[in-house]
Amino acid sequence: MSILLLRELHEDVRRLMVAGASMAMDDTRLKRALPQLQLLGEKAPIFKRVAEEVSSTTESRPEHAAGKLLDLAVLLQAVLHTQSSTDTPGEVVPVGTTQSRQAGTTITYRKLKPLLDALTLRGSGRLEIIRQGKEEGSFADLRTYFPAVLALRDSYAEIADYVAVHVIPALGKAVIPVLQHAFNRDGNSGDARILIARYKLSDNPEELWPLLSSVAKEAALPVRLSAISLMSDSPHFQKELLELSYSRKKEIREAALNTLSSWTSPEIDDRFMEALMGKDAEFALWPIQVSDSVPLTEKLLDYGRSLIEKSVHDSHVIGVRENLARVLHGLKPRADQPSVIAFLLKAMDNNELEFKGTESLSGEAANLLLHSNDKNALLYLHELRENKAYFIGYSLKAALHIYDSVQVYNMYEGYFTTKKSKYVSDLLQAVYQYAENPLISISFDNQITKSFSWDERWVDRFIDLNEEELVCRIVKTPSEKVIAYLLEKAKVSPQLLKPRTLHIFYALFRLGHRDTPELVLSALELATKKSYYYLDRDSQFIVAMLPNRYAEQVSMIADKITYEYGKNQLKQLAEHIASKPAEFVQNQEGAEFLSWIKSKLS
Amino acid sequence: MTELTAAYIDSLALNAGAIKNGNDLVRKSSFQKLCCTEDGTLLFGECKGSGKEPYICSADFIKPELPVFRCSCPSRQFPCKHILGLMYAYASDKPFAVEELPTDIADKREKADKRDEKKKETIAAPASSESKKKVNKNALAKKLAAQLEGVELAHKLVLQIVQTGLASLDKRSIRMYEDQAKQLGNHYVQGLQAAVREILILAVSAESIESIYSEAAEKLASIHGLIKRSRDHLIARLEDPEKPMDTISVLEEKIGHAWQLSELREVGRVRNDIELIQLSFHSYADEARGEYVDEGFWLQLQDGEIVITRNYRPFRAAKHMKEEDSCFLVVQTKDLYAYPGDMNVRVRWEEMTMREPLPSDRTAVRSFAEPCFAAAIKAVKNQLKSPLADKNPVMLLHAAQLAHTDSGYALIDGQGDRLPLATINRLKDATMELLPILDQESLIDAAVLVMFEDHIAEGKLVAQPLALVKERETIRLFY
Repeated sequence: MSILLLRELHEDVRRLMVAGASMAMDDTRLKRALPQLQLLGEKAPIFKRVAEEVSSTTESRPEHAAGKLLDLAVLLQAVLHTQSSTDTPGEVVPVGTTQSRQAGTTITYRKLKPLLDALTLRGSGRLEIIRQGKEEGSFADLRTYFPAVLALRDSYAEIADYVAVHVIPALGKAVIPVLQHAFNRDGNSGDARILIARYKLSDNPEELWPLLSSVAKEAALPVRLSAISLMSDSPHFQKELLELSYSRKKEIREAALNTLSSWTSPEIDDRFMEALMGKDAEFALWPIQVSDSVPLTEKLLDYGRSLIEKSVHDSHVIGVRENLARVLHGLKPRADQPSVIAFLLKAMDNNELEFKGTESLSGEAANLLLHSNDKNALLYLHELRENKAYFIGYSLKAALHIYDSVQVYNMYEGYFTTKKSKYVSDLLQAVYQYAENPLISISFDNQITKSFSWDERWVDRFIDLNEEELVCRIVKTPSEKVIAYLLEKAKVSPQLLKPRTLHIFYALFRLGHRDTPELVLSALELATKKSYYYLDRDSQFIVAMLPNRYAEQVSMIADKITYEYGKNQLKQLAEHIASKPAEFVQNQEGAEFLSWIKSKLS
Repeated sequence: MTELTAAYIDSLALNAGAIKNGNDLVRKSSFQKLCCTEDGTLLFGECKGSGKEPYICSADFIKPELPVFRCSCPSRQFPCKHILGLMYAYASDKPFAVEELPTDIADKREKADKRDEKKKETIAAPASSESKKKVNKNALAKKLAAQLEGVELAHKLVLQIVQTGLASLDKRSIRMYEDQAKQLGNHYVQGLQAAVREILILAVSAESIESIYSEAAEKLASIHGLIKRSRDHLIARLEDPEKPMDTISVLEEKIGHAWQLSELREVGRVRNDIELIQLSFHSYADEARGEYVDEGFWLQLQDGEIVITRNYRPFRAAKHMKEEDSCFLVVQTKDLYAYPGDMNVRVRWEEMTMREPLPSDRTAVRSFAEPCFAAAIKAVKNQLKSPLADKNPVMLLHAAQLAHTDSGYALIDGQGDRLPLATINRLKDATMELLPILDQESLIDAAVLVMFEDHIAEGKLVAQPLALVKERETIRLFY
């Protein structure tokens, strides 16, 4: 009771400090406490002192009130500091997990603090710190767990994704309680990441299935979407997903359809077809493409036929073309199936894919047939050029699949007489697509298209047509004519180091032309004279092909560059050239050379 | 010699960048020469730098408690990355050629020995030097008078704030008060100045002025108490010039005195042959002082006293000063200088060696944990009631259990007494969130380092756990 009085008094003192000590004179609340304090003061001297301070505060002149008020505050604080309680009522519940713990707390402050700041604060350069921390094993420290989970909500998605993919899985099961604690179903995309992380770490995912079901139905949108994607784990979700695919939110419908493509069943096929025919046609396409369902192919074909039928009866039916285009897209991964090939051949033969006033779908169909790898289909395309000249590009491609390079040359060379002829641009387009671009295939390991061999006679033909890049692409054996042609072409502003120049240099290197290094060097020297910054990957590659003895010259060119980055880059390149293993000097086309050069280039 | 472990070398580096750069030199094999003397007291080598000539660096452990580093590079960071790299190379068992002691180092060692002897002489004969160090009485009187003036100035400032009320603090008045606080700098009362500025900074940084009323009011009262004590002390010293400085309480430091080690030695505040083990670490920016503060909380292995190291780095010079790090090794020092103060005194050392901690150290630490909360709380309250006292005492308690109750986490001692745990304003970072992910075994029968805070308005004394010491390991909940 008496402590309560002092606490109230302390509150009044605080109030007066806020309002200003000049108000303390005759303050009614202070005065009201006085008699009680005096009464208590008879028993305990401390209250007597408080009472004295209170009365001297209220009685002092306004200009002295501040000092008195502070005296009273000092006294009250000293007393109250000894009176604070440490009561902690209630039942005692043990904390901690029953699992054993691996992580310790042995990372030093100077390592830990920047990492925790990177995970929890804002600003630039954080991802790098987090990456470094991961590499150094700093996440083995328990104190990173909460900040790491917090980082799943980072507004900078790259950090959140990095942590989700690399950090949280490495923390292991010990982080599950933290994830559980942090998860808020009504949250945002961070909670979606938390849900996925938690599910993937779980030993016993079945336990979380009820949660997935409920979250998929009601939660924040990103969380729902992640739950729906996780449902692909168990076929028993099929029914729920079918229901969700009718949701009012289109994102949910899309996610549900996508997840449904993990399985095949008549219900799912029907739902896909229903979606394809309805307003969700766009969403239905991807699941249909990835679905393994065999009956679905027939359903697509049936739908395609019905659409064709409609358009035959009435060529103005709205949307038929779009729907038919979707059917063709859906058939793409199924192009090797006989029924599909038959359908396409028939449709093309009967001109059922031509639409008045809009773009024809025959091109799409021809593309599908090219993908089918079916001999008859390819033959059909090859012969199509005779009836429908505008298909000649496809015919050439098909021919490349069926015949050898000499045959192809003999059959198609005649169409490449002059650039002015009607469909030559289609043909050239086809050649560009099917002739390998050597520089691109160096930069990107994967060869996107199957490579076809080309008859050497094409080189002359392309020189006549002045298609320098095609010449560069397919030329294999040196001849006076081709070298002269390329050298002539290389004279056009080599200092710009444009892709075309690089193609020519690479071709000359491959043909073993002796003066190529000099050409490259002089181009490089010219290039570095004017506003030069750095070399792109292809240019670096070409420079790196220079033989060892040119290292010093490259280094000298580098010395003249003023821009620091470009200078260092070229210097480094010179070092690489100097250190190039001898076996590559002769053979710069082998896979070993390519992997060596790739390891060196920045 | 201290064993050259990576952890020890890390602790010598000024900052994390230096650690990385030092290691990079080793990784890139930038050292053209790595040598050591036969007795292993000197490491020296040559390191490739950006210049033509390599840098010549050495680390001399002839006095293991005070290693001497030398490098010919122009870096302002010291020890530079070359010296660190040299030691990292040694720690990672790179081959070191055994060579004769270079003559220049031998000369330098000789000179250093002579210097040391001189120093020892002066320390050994304090009586005779007393006359030499005789204080200029006039100067002292002048300084005390200036300080007193400063105290009155601070007093006026505080009264002014209270007179007009905290509610009337606005940008303009705060600026005016700040100008006045600046004047305190001319009166040798840096401590008081910082205390006043703390309130002003609190008012500026607050999102709403209402949120800081309680804290500011408490602080004003504390300053008021400090001013009164300072005034009495200074007047007494002015009247009696023979009266010594206050070497018991923190008063001198709070007024603004920076104790020098020689002064501490003179007044007998040196402890001999001490081993310290760090239990927690805290680094923060003290805006009022304009300095970063690196605080280490240590336990003296001899008697279990909890002491604090404080390393101040002025914002302006922070780049070139050593950023302290948390320390996991045991520090051994012949002379530990203890500042005047109460519960957790500030300590410093000049020379030290380090050793790996042993399991027996943890046993010793645990044996010093206070098993009775009632006694601990009494001691804390006793300290808190003094207006000068540090409001956040740190103690090592023995908890039978860390548990959850209706009002949050709590420590429970052997008698079933409880101490509520909470995140305190002083630290701001939560540490209790780690408790649920610790294994249950770690949370029983643990020595717990806690920092107290009294929330006077709510009438609640709470503590925040900083570290748990178990037989097997130390778990640092904070840094």
